[in-house]
Amino acid sequence: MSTLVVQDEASEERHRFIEKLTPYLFISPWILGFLFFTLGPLIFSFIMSFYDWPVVGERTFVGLQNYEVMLTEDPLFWDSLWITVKFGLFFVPFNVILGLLLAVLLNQKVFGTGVFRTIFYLPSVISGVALVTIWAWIYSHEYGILNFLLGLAGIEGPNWLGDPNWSLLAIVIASLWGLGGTMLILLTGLQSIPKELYEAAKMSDVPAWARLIYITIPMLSPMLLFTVITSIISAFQQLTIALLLTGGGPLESTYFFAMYIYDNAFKYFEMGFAAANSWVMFLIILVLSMLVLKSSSAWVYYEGEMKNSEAADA
Amino acid sequence: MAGVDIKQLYKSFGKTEVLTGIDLGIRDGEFVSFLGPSGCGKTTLLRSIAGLEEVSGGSVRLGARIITQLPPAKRDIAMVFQNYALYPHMNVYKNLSFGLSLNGVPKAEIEERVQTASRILQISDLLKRRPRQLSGGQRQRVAIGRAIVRDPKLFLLDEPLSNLDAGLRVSMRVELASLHRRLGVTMIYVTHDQVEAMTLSSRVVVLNKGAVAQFGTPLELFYAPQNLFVAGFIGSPKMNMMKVNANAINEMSIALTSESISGSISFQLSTPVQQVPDQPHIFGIRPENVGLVEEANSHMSGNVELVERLGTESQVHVRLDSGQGLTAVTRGTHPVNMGDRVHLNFPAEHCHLFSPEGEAYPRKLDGETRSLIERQETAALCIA
Repeated sequence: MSTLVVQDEASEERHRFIEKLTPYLFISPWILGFLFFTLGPLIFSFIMSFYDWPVVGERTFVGLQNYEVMLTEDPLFWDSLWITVKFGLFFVPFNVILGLLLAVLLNQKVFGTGVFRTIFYLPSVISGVALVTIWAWIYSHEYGILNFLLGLAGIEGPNWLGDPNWSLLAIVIASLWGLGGTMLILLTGLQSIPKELYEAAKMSDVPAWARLIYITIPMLSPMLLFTVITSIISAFQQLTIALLLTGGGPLESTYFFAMYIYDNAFKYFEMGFAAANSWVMFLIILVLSMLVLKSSSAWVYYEGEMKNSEAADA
Repeated sequence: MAGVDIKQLYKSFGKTEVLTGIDLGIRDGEFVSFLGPSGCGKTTLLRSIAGLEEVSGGSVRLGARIITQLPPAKRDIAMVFQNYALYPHMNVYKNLSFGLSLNGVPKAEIEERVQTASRILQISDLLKRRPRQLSGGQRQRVAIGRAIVRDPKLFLLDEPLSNLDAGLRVSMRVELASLHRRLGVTMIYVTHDQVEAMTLSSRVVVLNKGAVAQFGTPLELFYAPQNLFVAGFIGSPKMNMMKVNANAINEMSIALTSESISGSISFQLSTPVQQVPDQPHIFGIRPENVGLVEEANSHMSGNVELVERLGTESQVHVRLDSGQGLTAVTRGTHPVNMGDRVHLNFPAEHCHLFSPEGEAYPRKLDGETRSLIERQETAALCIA
């Protein structure tokens, strides 16, 4: 009798264990992928950054030397960082503001909105290389359509990709082609704003510009925060377009920080140094994102949030 | 302040006609309800007056101005929305003052208007709060406050109490009535709740399928419905209806016979009719006018199918011998039981009669009812 009870308990325990395990089994493909392809390399690169780590040959522990060299001895580090910051200063505001304007336009109830939405989103699904090829044609000094069109207007177009004064702007414009993603996020946000708010505003004679500034933008602010942060991240990770369109030139005017890392790793095979570069980039992105998040309490409105002062007031 | 004149108003969404030629004259200072079942067009009519829907035809006049083509803001109308439509990211003060401050109203005047409105609505101590921190009733007050500060000629209220719980709804109803008295401004109120419409309004517009079924004082709708729809819609439980044969006795009375009713009923008219068509008519009697009596005095007999006891009254559902169903309301403590054989009668003066097309014959009302209706009509007129 007692053995039977013990057996029952054991089987029940096994059953309970399996029940607990099941959900983890279901998400295991993702967990494994994350461990081996994200967290693993992350930790590994952190360790690498303290080594002199050539692809072939002896690896030696060098402590903080990689970081020291980067910050004090390698002018390319600062140059490429500055170019990236300049790019971000153009790219982030344009990406968010143009994305917002497009979203507002495409949120209007006019004939053919669906078609326009598709057209504006289309560039975002084109692969990077194809996009760059298209832009290379557009920007071509002699035969490009952009300078041809400018010529029709009587303007002599610059050598977009060959002139260091224009090359960075050319890349900003080309990368803005992907703002369909931003637009889509903001469009979804716009559609979740109750239309009665606008009707109430219309009844109280609130002009259209004020509806945008005082209703749309605050109601959209969580989405705007999200797009600002993702834009900053993608600005710092900008590589494909510059690498393929200008190769960092002319005169290193488009030599982005990501390209600097890329060259150190795959041109000079300084894996340890490149790993240290990557961690610096990570830290910069982290700090910037945190600054933006910190500022968000002043300008982002969340439906569910209640500030301490308000809670006390209530 | 101003009255509202609506002429031949049409509105269609694509091929669906929502409003089919509405004609209404609302007097200055009146409280009028638009009442009707879902989809009758009452909200569309309200939004058309507000200018939030473009009408397909007809005109709306507010006071001396035709406002049909004006944008909502230029109409001098304020609207309270069903779900309040408060700006969630602004505090109550900002919600009230937002429209004013953008239209160049001086700061001191805004302050005064906000303070006055919040005093009237008793929300003065809530001005710093966000809508999320308010209860349903408080939000409702803020929404009304936003209308008050604009000092409009016309208030539109779109089912403003439907999101509140039952108890709050009753107290807000009382407050709305006193607010209307205090402001004296014309108000149009959309509701599907007949109790709200009957208690608040000086007159009620009953809408059915995008057309006005009847426009009259609450008691008029109840005691003298002009058609089958109004007769069936107003009053709870619903009016009993059955087919009858009608034969004119003289031009002021009609004899009604039916297999459900023993003998004949003499229906008295208030105005003479020339001809009664030889077709089945529809006879109506309100449940509260049907009484349980001895067999000797009865018009009808049947078996009780269900007794619903509500305390103050009992609703007795009877299946008549003819197969017709009928509801009677008796006192709460009446001992009648399910399955009992009962005998029913009703006073002839409470009968309603409708033509085969559903139009009511003008029935003769007793003196008391007539004077009550007249008193309500005079009161409605006095507002003007």
